[in-house]
Amino acid sequence: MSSVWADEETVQRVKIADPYIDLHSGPGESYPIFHVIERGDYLDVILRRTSWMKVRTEKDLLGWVSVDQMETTLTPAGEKVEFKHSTEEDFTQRNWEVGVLSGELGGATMFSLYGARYINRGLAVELGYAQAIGTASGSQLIKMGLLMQPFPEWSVSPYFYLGTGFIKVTPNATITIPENKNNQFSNVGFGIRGYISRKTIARLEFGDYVLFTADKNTDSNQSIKEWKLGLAVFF
Amino acid sequence: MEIRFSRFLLSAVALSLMLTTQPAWCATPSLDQIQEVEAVIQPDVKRVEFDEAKIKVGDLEIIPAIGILSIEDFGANPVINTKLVYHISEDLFMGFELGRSKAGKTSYEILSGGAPLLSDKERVLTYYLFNVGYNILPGEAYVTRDTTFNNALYVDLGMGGVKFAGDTRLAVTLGVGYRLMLFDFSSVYIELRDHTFNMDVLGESKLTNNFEMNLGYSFYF
Repeated sequence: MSSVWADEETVQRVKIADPYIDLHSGPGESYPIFHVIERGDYLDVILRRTSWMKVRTEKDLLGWVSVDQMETTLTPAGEKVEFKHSTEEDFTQRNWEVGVLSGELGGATMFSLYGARYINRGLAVELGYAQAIGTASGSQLIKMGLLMQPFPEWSVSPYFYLGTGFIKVTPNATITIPENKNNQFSNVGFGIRGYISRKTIARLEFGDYVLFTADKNTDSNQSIKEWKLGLAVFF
Repeated sequence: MEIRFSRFLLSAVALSLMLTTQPAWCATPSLDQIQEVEAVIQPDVKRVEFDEAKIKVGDLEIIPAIGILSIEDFGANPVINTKLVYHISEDLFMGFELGRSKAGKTSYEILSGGAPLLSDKERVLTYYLFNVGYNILPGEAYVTRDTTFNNALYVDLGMGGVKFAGDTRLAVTLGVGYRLMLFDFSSVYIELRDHTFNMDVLGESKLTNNFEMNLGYSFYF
């Protein structure tokens, strides 16, 4: 079986420097080792998937080698091969973050999707969309805010959030006569973010929304509590 | 005369040989010459600079799929969905997907012959899900003696929203799927799953099980 997309010109070649390297039959530790390649032999790298690399040996065998083992090889020029690893250091110096969170907003189950751009290591601008699904009504939110983290160098780092946006509340069709409501809101929150592995982050946040509902009929603003937990990927 | 002529020829050959043959100390090639010779032999091995950025990475996958979705009380109907998956590690992946189907008629609507329960627009079912999946049984499929494909049986759990009959409902989806890695940059998928969500279209609110079976073809990038 040969690769469809891998054209020969871009194939990267490495030389084995360790006594030997294991060739697995698939991209995972549980796939059996079916061959070993000895020191001095060359390998052509076809592709990378998570932390595994598909390689072709000089004898035209195809197999998978872990990135950890690939790092013990040399370039054809004799230099040490180094591969990109997303590390904790990359986490503290990330520029972009995209993630999904799920939790509760005022008693309703909520999902949100967000993207953040870091202005510097401690400050980010965040844009998000959320949907809350309740038993009597559903709501959609668009929000934008600033995120401040006082200890950006920590691998588990607390942060504060300050934002604003719009919420559209739609009562469920079968319960009441539909009457959509649009309100602006402000939102404060605090949470923690932790580095998991590679490019993934876990995030937990508690927040308070103040809906500007005060008008000539009601003289008070409405407050809604929120918690959410989720995963994000950083670049 | 002839002898004299051949002797002349011989001595001429001998003289020319003496003139052209170099002394013994000169016959051993110098180190420079060896390297030159090797350089002439070697061009087969290309001196390519190693550049990690040129190695193709396939951790992201987009999976368009078609299938059948059975909407409780509303019959089995065609469904299309598209999933975007990020492979976190060799075993773990996360994804986001969007799906769309259209409900048929309930038995009640057909038997009574009366007014339909839902409008055409309300019959359109759309869903979005956030998934986390785990490859429980990674393996190999031996198609012929010389053809082997990697495969995996995986389970995934998704949460999201289903918009149907005018409302958005909370859905929890449990699925089991099979991935056959046909090529380096694409796989075939078969997935069976159960979307559970509350529905109150037929009067009282009840938890419904909505089974979906789909066939997908993915592209890694």
